[in-house]
Order: sequence, then C-alpha cells, then structure tokens
Amino acid sequence: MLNTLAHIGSKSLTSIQMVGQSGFFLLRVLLRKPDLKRLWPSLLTQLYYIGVLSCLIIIVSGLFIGGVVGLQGYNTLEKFGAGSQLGQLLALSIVRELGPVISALLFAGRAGSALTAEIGLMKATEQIDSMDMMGVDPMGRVIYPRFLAGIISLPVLSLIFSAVAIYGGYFIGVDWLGVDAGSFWSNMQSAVHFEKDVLSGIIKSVVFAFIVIWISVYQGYSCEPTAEGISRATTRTVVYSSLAVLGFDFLLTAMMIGGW
Amino acid sequence: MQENLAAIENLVFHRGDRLIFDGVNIDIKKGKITAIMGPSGSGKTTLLRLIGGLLNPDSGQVIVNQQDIHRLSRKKLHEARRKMGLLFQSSALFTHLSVFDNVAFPLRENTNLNEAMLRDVVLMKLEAVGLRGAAHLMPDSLSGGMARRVALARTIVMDPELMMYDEPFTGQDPIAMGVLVRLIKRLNQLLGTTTVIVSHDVAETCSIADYVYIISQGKVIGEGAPSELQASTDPYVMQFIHGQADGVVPFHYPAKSYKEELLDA
Repeated sequence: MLNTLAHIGSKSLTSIQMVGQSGFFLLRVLLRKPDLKRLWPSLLTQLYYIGVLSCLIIIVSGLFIGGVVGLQGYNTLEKFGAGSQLGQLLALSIVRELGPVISALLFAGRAGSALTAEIGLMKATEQIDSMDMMGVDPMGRVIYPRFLAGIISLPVLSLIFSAVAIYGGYFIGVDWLGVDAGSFWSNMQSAVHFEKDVLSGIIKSVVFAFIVIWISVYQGYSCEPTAEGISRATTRTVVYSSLAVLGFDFLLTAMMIGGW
Repeated sequence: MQENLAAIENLVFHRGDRLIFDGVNIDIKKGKITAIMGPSGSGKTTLLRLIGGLLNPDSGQVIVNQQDIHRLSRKKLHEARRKMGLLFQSSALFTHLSVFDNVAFPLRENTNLNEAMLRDVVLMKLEAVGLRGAAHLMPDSLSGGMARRVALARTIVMDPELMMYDEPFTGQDPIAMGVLVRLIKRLNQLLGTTTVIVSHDVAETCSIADYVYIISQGKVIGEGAPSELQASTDPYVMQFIHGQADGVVPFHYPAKSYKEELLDA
C-alpha cells in the first residue's frame, strides 16, 4: 500500500516537474528576439515540411469525412423532410467542430510525431549539442522556426480541410442523393456567420496549433537520447496532443457557446 | 610560468548515483597541447562537455579565458563558445546538410562573410582534411573516418582559441591518422591554438602532446610530460601507458565475484 502511494507520489512529482519544465521551455521560445534574416529560410523550409506535406492527408480525410457527414446528415434530415437543410448542417458541424479538431488530430499524428522524432534524433546524434557548442542557440535555429511553422500551418490546413469536407458533402448530397444545389448553398450561406462560426473555428485551430506544436517540440527536445527514448517521446506527442486537443475543444466550445 | 587558458578546479560531478569526478584539478596551458587520457568510462568525454558548459558540475569550477563557464548567462556562454571548438566523438554532422554546408554552417550563423569568401574559407578547411573533393556529398554517404574529418574541418572553420578533440583518432586508417596527428600539431603551432585531446590512443597522443593527464576512478592518477610518464614507475601510470590488463586500475566494471555470479544462476 505504502509502495503504491510512493509510486503515485513519484509519478505525480515527475508530471508536475515536466509541466514546469515545458512552461520554462515555452517561455524561452516565446521570449526570444527573432533574427529575421536567418529565420526566414528555415521558416520556409519548415512550412514546406510541416504544412505543405500535410496537405494530402488533410485533403483526403476532409473529402471522406465530408462525404460521411453528408450521407449521415441527409438520412437523418430526410426523416423530418428537411433534406434541403443539409448544407447548413454540414457547414456548421465542419466549420465549428470537425474541421479544427480532426485537422489538429491528423496534424499531431503526421507532423507532430515527425517533429518529435526529428528533434529527438538530432539530440541523440549530438547535432543539438554541436550547434550549441558553435555558439548557435538551438532554440532559435531548430525549435523556433518549427514552432512558428506549426502555428501558421495548422489554421491554414484546418481551413483547407473544412473547404474540402464541404465539397465532399456537396458531392454526396447534391450529386448523389439529389439535394437541390441552390438550396444547399443558400441554406448554408444564411445559417453560417463569419464571426460566430468561421472565426470561432479559426480561433480553435490556432489554439490547437499552439498546443500540438508545443508538445511536439518539447517532447523531442527533452527526450532521452536513445532509440527507446525517441520512440516513447513520439508516442507521448500523439497521445498528449490528441487528449489536449479534445479537452481544449470542449473548453473552447463551452466558452464560445456561453459567449466567452 | 606559462599562462593557463583554461583551468579545472576541484571538480566534482555525479551522473545519477555514480561519482564521475571527485575533486579533479587540471590546468590547460595557453598554446600547448594537453592530453587527457584514461580508460573507457573514466569520464574523458564528460570532462570536455563540462569545459564546454554542456554539463554543469556539482561543485568546483571551470575557468576558460578568466571566465567561470558555469556562471555565464546563456548569451555570454554562446559568445565564449564561439572561441572554442569541440570535435564530437560521433562527428555530429547535420544530416540534412551537405559536407560543404556543414562546414559553412558556423560561418553562416556567426559571421557576415559574403558567399565568395565563405566558399574560399570552407574549401581551405576541407583541403586541410583532404576532403575538398567530397564537398558536395551528403553525410550519409561518408565513412566514419571521413565524417570525423568533415567534423574536424567544421570545428576549425572559426579558428577557435581552444580546440577540444574527443577521440580524434578512432576509426581512422593509418594514412588519415598520420595526417590528423600532423594537422592537430600544425594547427596548434601555426595558429597558436590551445588544444585538449581526449584519447586512449597512447602512442599517437603522446607523440604530439606537451602535457598529459591520466584520469581514472574520478581522479587524476598521473600527470606530466609524455617522456616523464613513459619513464614513470607509478603503478597506475605504468599500467595505462603500457596497456597492461592486470594492475591497480581495474579492467572489470565493479561486480560481485565471478564464481558467486555463476553459482547464483
């Protein structure tokens, strides 16, 4: 019994220590003065690796999820004779919820895990230390460009996801199930408000980007520099990011519905 | 008396529960080649990391250029490190950059040299290590020895005042080894670079070192000029210099007796 308590205590202390360390890590990233001349090329490279290379999975997933929501939504709405409201249902569910959340989950799995593994491997092969020994701060050269690229990429990916998913739903609803195209778009236009719906989705995706990229780079930077350590850190990135995204989604939704 | 560029004073360092250094004192004379030798696992690499400020000691201090390395702010530490070079045992080349870009990296980050001048400096350093023709290659297509020489070119590209080599001769063929030994000596003589070599290659290291420290079990067990150590009758020094398995320095990692271990199974 005492051993179990000691184990729980030790685990809790380690977790609290990790939260504290990741907080200091975040401060070191955020409070740095960027050297734009040197930052710009690295930022472009990272935008390509983190953002552009994630487009395919985002577009394909958006298409399928839009199609599924279209199919399920139409079947339910049609029971009440409201099949023409499909555009509204599709747009609201995707722009407010599914777009930001699923993009963030896919982003954590695709880009977040890759970032953790890359930084962890750089640490294991002493690339981070060698950079540090050259008088080049790895925080500015390795972490900062990746952090910024993640924060810029995810909101854009989330918008791409939402747009593609709406078209996915359109193909199912209008082209396959026969919903009138005019009512599909006009119902969507009248029901979706930019500030209340689109902007709240964008705000969510910015928050999710911040959380996922913070977890990813911190896990890579602080991992044990061994094959097993990198593997564990990569798993932690995906698990922690996914849980944090879902938890913050609930929190943000509650705040947005409650008028902040 | 010769001025010290760096000094390690009463250094104590633990890794977990294991005591690595127990009150170590080492002087690194300006413009000289100081060798730190010792058996594997004696903390030679750790010592270089402590000098570079990559690790913090439990107590004691490391003074480089009259500055206590472990009391410097991050910014000041990076400034101090620009005057140091550390050749890592693993080479630590950036895998996403070509050989040329690896060597150019410190110059691009720390200076405002134009590309033409930068190219000349990089090619000059690659020529010195015999790899000018490999400038376009990526690190994954280099052998271990070649990667080490590229890392050496990268480390000397900023002409550091204090140059630290971690096992520079490991994995080198006899030709490259000879070139490296002469290169280290020449850099030291021509540029006046203060050099610290960590190695357990006794013959190569003693051929160029001005002063040698032998460390084992957390302490300095012998020191002196290579000729003094070769002639030493101290059992610790003799065992290491002459590579004897049995002696006062244990070959085996601490463990219970072999017989006891086998009978336990």
